[in-house]
Amino acid sequence: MTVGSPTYSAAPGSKGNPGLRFVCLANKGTRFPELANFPTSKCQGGIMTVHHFPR
Amino acid sequence: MKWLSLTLALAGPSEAALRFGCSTVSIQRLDPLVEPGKLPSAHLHQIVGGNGFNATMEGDIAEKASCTTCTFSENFSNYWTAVMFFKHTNGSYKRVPIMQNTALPNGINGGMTIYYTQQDFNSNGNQKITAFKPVSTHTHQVYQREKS
Repeated sequence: MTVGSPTYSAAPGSKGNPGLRFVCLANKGTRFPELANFPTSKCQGGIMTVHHFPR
Repeated sequence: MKWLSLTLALAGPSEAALRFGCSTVSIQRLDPLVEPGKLPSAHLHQIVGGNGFNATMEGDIAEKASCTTCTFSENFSNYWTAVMFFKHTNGSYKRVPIMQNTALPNGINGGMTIYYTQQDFNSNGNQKITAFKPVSTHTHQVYQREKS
């Protein structure tokens, strides 16, 4: 099973790739919210990607 | 009717979920699911799991792998994701490493956390959960259908 597409390019207001979500970590314990698109501002604790199967 | 009461007890509310960490097993331009047999694949992947990972994977992985970087040694599955690069202002690229999950015990190096849940940690949902089928031509056909 696969999630996401390497050729995907987010448009403003896009719902993102089905099944693929990003979490902007304030610290290593942050788990929400799950964002549809890659964070555009700095994430202090890093960025977590979540792959939901089946998408 | 002792057996009936036992059955009812088992059918009561339960929240079943499985979570485990997997260290990096390899970083390669290979993708046996999206581009089977292609050497190299279109982009780089970080791979975790069993040592049976290959450019082409057919049949039952349990018969081909003998060890795994995942913490359940019975599971020889592989999981992989595209690798992200950071572009420096001078134009050079650096691979962004994967951090270990702080919620898991130390020692999972550059790994992923794998979850098997019926719906989430707090609900079983209304779907039956089944094991992933072995990677086979069926899997490739499903993928090709999705692509076309």
